[in-house]
Amino acid sequence: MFFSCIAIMALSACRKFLDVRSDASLAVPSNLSDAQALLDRSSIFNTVHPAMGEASADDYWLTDAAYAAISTDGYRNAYIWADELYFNQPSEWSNIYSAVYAANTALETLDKIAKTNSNLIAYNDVKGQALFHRARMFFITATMFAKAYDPLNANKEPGIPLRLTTDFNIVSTRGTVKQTYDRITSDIIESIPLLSVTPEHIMRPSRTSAYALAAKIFLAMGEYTKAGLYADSSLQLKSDLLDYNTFSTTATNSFAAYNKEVLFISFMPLITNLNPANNGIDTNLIALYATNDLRKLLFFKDNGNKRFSFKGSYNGNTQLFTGLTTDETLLIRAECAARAGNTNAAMNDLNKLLKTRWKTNTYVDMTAANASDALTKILIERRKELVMRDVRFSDLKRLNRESNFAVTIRRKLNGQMIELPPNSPKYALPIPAVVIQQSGMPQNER
Amino acid sequence: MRTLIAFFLLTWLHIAANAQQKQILRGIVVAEHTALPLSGTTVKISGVIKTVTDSLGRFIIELTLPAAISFEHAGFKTRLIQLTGFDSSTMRIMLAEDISQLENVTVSTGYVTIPKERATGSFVQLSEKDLNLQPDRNILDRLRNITSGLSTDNASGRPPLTVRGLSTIMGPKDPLIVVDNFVYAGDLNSINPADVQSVSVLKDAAAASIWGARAGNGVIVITTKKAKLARPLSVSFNSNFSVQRKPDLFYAPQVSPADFIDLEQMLFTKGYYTAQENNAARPPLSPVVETLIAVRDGKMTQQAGLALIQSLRNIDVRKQYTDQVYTNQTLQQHFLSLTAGAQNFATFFSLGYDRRMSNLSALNERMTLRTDNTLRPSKDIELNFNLAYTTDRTSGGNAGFGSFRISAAQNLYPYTDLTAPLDLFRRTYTDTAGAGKLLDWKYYPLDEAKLNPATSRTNNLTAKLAAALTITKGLKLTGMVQQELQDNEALTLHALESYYTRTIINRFSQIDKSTGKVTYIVPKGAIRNRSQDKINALSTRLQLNYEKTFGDHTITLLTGGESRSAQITGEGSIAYGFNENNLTYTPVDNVNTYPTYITGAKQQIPAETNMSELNSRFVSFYANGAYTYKKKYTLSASARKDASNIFGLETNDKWKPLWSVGGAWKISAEPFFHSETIRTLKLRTTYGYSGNVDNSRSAVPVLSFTPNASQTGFPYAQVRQFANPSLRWEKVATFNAGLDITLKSADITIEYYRKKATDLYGNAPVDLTAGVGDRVVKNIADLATTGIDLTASLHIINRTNFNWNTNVLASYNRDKVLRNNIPNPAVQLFTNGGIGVSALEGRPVFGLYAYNFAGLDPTTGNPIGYVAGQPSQDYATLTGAKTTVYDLNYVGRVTPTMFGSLANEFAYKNFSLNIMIAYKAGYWFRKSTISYNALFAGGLGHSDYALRWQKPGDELTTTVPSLIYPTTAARDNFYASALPNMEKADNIRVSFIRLSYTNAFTKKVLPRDLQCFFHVSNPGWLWTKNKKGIDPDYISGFPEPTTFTIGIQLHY
Repeated sequence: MFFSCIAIMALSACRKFLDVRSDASLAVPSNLSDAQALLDRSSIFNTVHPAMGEASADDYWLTDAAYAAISTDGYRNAYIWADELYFNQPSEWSNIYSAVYAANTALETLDKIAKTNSNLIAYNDVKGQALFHRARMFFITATMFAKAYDPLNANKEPGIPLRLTTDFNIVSTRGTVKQTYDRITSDIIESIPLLSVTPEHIMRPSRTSAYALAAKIFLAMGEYTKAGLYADSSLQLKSDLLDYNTFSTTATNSFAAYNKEVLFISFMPLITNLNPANNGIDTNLIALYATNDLRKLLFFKDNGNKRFSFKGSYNGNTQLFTGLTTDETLLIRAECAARAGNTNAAMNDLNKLLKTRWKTNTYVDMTAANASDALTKILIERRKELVMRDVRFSDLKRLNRESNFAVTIRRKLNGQMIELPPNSPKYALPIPAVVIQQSGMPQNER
Repeated sequence: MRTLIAFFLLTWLHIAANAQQKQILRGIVVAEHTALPLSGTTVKISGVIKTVTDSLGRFIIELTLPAAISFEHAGFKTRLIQLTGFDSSTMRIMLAEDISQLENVTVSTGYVTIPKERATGSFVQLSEKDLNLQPDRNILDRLRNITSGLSTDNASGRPPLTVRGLSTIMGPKDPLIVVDNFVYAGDLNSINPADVQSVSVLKDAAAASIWGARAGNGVIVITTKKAKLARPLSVSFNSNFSVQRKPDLFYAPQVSPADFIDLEQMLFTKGYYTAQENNAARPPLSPVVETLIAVRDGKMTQQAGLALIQSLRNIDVRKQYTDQVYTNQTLQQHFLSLTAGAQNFATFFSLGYDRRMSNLSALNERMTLRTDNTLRPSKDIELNFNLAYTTDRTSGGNAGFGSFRISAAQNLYPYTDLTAPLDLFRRTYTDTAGAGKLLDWKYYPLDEAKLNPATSRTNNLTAKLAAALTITKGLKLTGMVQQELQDNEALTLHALESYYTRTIINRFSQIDKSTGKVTYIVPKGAIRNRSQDKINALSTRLQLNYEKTFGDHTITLLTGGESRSAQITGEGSIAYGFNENNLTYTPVDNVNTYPTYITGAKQQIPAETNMSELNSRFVSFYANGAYTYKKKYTLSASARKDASNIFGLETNDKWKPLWSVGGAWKISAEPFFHSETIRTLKLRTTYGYSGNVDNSRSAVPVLSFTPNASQTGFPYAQVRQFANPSLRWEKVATFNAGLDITLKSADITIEYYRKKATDLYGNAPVDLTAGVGDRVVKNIADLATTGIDLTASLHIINRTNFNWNTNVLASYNRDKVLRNNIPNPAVQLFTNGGIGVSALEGRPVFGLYAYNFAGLDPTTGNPIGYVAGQPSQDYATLTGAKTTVYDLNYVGRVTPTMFGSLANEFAYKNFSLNIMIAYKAGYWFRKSTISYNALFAGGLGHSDYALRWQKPGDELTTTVPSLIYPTTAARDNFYASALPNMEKADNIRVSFIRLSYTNAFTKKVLPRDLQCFFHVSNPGWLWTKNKKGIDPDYISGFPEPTTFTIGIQLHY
């Protein structure tokens, strides 16, 4: 009797006793700051930009010895556009989709939180950030693993898997390129009015950077009118440009991180191929810079023997900057103006940029005979400006669809020439074999 | 504390003073049928305890004639002698075994002490004598070789200790450790083995189910020495001294310095080091490569360069470590205990001190203090108070071979001279960087340990209060409270002169080029790292026991409830610019980033504070009953419900009921049973459930927070546990059948068991795209483990002066995965690296798989495998995602199928010799081999390098592939996991030899009882099936060196 009384008392006390958290640093996501904390994990959203796109592009070269010294098979495969790119290297894929999962967890957490007058601004901002990140991750993935957006074939070509919930039981499917870009554009457009104009930290998305990202996405799709409008919206909020005359041409790294052109920070870990200690920058690209163009001195270190190594990262170190900036946005607006036939506006933007890139008082405004001349000039300057920012691979894909801009890129290795012709199916990189095996999704053709 | 000790001493003096001197009787008590001396026999005169016999069965008492002397010993019939006279020679008293009284042998389950005879389940009971056979300083180490069904494993990724194999695939695999009734939360090193009275190992469901959801892996119940009522004063003193030799570093299969230098010269000509030379982060290059660069650049003559390289060929880093770093390990263990008991009060007190100087000169000191006190104020009430305090202090020693590396990616060069400064950045850079303004940037290997003094201190205080109240006859209520406090502090002081401190300061130094002024972002001073963790565990239990015998029926019942909360909190901090004289330090900015000196890349100063708090809480209710009829038939049953604060479950779902039933039949007690040879025969069987809990799993998404993200300084969160609502606890059903046979000169127990574990955590495959990694945990796996444990103690020779006893332990154990999902059967997860859980259906949890091997290509020395049945050198396919584990050869299990020991004890007069032979059989291992990729990239060589294919024809004598440049990791990985590297692991070793001398003395001044011993463990007598000189217990690392111990035990 006595004992059963004790037992009953114990039982009622149990519930409270057992409700203590087993680890005080853990929590079930339930409030706005949890959702914000999920999106503040810069080690998945900002610092692990995939490198295989830039590694597949043509702005750098490796000597035979440097190629042989690469110890990771996957990086070597990327250089020669091999069929099996990701031997044992699916980490870039899983990094992207961990970020998508975190964004989805944040969105699902928000669904459980009531919107009130007092939390409305913060609520919207967090939601905007989650949508921005998801759009950006999908866009990066599409750039690497899907073919270029082509309105004629977008309904037929396979896209990328669009994970929109945290339910891991849903089987991944690729859908189409159109579905992919529909989701990317709807996420980014939805995020814009939700985001605050100035972020608390530029590792967080803002309305300014969301406009810039939208411009970049529509540009990649070839939707130049929209790209131009979004670029303009971003520039209206922030259009600061650095004056390259203020930087030392002898510094190890020319630029500082957090400089005033940066709208959103992202960078990629330095893989062997892209490490300036190992590679050289395409000498044809180097030849394009004029003598008074400071970019030649600030972007590149001359190691002799025609080996120039890149030192112009906006990340302030050797890691390659891949975020969003005012200079890129300005070039988008310029290109879109040219494509719209607005030669003057296009050249104005271009000259505005280049004036800050040349030695003081040496730059003479360029002129264009017509819109298509302006476009050609802008595209050349675009390549010269956005070196090693993971823009080139996407540009190659996009411009290859226009016969006058299409190029065949080449690698010289051990006396052999390896070529990647325009619109080659290899421009859609192979999805990691393990993912294909698990999900049953179709692989990209080689 | 002082008054307490004084109180105890007074008590003993009082008891000792009671003895009065009349006439002296000397005697020896032996067992009738074995003639073995019976130590611990209680000798009473007229019902009053006078003494207990020593370890040789001897006693001395003082008496006045005539006297009624009785001799009582558990398991023997009490003998009463009416003594009217005796001569001066030693009296020999023989006690007859009392078969009906064997029940006095008891086993402790941690809840109740039950007579072994009435036990239906499977137990191993180890006495103090068993535990003293091996002088290890950790109690669990002393269980090796003498515990049936217990197997040990040194490999990482596998449980170090298992009882009857595995009952889970992914869950915790260690047995539950119980010390004096409660689950032990602290560090087991805090328990002095000399304080341990006995250990019970609970192996089956009936034995362990009382421990419920955490008993799936077996339970080890440790019982410490207790105060006993009505015992005269007894004092014991033990002292041991051990010396362990240095490890044999040449056991490590390393590439020879000369071969490595040749290789570096070859790689240099191929331009392999150019990228490192150009690397802005200035990674170091080896002395050989630096010399080659200097010669190339004309900074050194060809001749001087060659001479320098030649001199390095004669240096072997293993010899350097053996001579400069390692010493013999010494260990001292001292232990003193006192115990005395009056009719209603008894006390026990012990003091232990151990001191170990490790082979890396790390000093460890442990002091233990225990007291146990029992008070019986009235017939119905018994109070017990137990207090144990341990303080354990370790100061850091040198870094051992293999633990210091040039960088995370670069191993120490095989020709490293430890007496010379080492470069962890390129010397050509550090010699000029900062124009002398920076601190010295070299590393001095032999000085670093001294400059970073590290200490760690653990204090453990455990206090227990128990009260037992007898309500009516047979009905007893017991309440217990135990509070355990453990405090661990680790402190490292990195002196300014240490490399650790110098490199951090240099890294963040800023030098004004025009003025030469140095700005120190990290203050120029010592750095102190401190971490502390605390355990605070409170356990309470309330239990009701009922026992009643009426006629032929005996009923025992127990029921109770217990709760336990354990909180582990941790804190760590770093103080920069620390001054130990006045305890001042300089705050640093951990939020902003600062440019680092070499590359200019911005970094944060390593962070300052961290905190953690873990809570585990359990509430359990349990009941256990047994019914015995005519002392022949026993039925037992138990039931238990557990709840814990497992994350994200509703309280109702946290409860888990478990039960077990058992029966025992003592056939030899039946009237129809008549046998001269078989003295007792008992058949028993049990069936029941236990479980496995893993509190790290969760049903809801769980975020883990980290403060101060790099660059932003914001706290950030990541999803640690993915939403997984269907998770349940694992369940283990165990069937056990045992037969106990006692023959005239042998005791044999044979048991068969089958564990079926269901609802086990298993990996369900998910594709990476889901964002949760490549797998999630679900209750999708089943595992069956079957085995046989045989124990036989044979009394081969029983003579007055010579005894030969043999103990045989033989276990057979096989686990087979009945159901599981392999989320990613890609071959690389089953071949590279350590051999972890593979758990293919129909195979063991830890299985070894290998590539088929078609030899070496006779023209290139490339290894050849098979793709789709055809010989192939396409390593990308062979080792790529398209090849799965199902394409591989299943070689065998990596844990022994058969294991056991053979212990022989030869006793001649006062001497006895113990020889312990242990064996393991029926398993495999994968030997390491050369990886050219790892050799080039990290300098990780292997002695197989010397056996490599070098010219056509070599393929007939070797399987080691040729050296190629450039190489691919795939080619190395293929060969490393190909059949030629699979070896049978069967081995037999002499585990230890122990020679002891025991004597008892009669004179008052001398100890009553003395034992000296000499013990040699791991004498190195080993037979292995593999003939490559590899000890299968030490596939990596070094075999445990031979240890010599001498010791003395005295009893007063």
